[in-house]
Amino acid sequence: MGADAVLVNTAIAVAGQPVAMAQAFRLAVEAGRLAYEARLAAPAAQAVASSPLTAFLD
Amino acid sequence: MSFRPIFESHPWDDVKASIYAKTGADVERALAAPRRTLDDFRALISPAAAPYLEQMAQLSQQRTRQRFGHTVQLYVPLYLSNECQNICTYCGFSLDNKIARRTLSSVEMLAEAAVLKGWGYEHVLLVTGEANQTVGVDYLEKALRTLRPHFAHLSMEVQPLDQEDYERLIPEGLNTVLVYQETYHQDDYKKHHPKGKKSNFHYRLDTPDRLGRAGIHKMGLGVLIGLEDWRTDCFYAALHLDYLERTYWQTKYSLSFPRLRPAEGMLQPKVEMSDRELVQLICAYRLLSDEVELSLSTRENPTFRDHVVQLGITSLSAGSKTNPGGYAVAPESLEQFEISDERSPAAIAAMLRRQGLEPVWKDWDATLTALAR
Repeated sequence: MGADAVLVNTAIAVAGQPVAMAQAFRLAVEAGRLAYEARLAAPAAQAVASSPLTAFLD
Repeated sequence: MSFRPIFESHPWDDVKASIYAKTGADVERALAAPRRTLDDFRALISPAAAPYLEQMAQLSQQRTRQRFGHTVQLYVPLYLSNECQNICTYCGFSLDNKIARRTLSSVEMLAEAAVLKGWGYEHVLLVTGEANQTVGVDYLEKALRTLRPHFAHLSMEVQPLDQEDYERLIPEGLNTVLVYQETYHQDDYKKHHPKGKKSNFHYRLDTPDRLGRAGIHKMGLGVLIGLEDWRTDCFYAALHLDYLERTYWQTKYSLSFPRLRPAEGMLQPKVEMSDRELVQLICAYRLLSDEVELSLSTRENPTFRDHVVQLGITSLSAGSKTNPGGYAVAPESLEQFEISDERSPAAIAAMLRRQGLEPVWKDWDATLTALAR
């Protein structure tokens, strides 16, 4: 998730619709960068419920 | 053998001080303990446990599912009479309240029962005030005889009785008796029960012992939250439960935690308990005892009830009316207290199913009572 560049020339050139494929790669690169910058959650040794049981009290 | 010496060896002020002295380290120790003691319980109900609420809820849910599965029992109160010779500062049926008094006849009981049966109920809680002339043991016996053929499980929340009275009523189909101490603070108890048989603190305190000796199938304990410091009062309920579970080990137990609600002529609660604190208490009780049933009535609002059924509660009432004749005979008569969750039993059952829980309408049968003897 920290790639510096992507080589996509052939993948786009030989696609059925090269413009649409180029658009798809652009969105994929943007999605990856956004996720990278948003940072992953910290790993935990134990499972933690993603929907806290007491959130309704907040 | 009775609870009284244990009770007397725990002075109120000492208990209260010990709860409020608990620290985060005490709470962490309590959470990590494989079997929790009453001292752990003090930590879990203390203010120091507030930051650990989510962890308590997760553990409480896990232990409840292990012991009770994905089930919640449903029951409904059937008020038989609002006649009462007691003055209780918080109750709509108090003697000094000028309200129309009514006691159901057998025919009226059956009319009420027909409505409850139509909703699917097999567990019914019979409720009366305390008026020996009209709703004494003879009346209760008649009520049990009238209703027994129609329900699988009959509970009673009526005046405390002598052991011989319980021994007389149990063969008539009495499965469960609820007797809440209201408060374990003796001076405060006297203040809230100035007149009538109920003003005898010790007779009430000894009632679970009389029930245990009479061999009751199940009994329910609790305090009325709002009369006194809830943490201290609920510690005494836990102390009482702990003693009873060890002494009358063949009896099942349930706990309830009613918060004071508006009623005719009622005082304002001395102590208010927040939703967060009630969740803390529910989880603390579950972490103390795997076995105890935890019951929540329609005093609590729908949002709160929908969430806490996942946290440790094992029994809910639904569709409740708190006035005698409220289901069929006299729907307009005065209630003991107002309810907050007015959804029908079918709506409550549907809510449980949506949450992956199974509503249980019947988990006992008279045949089993005969076998148990």
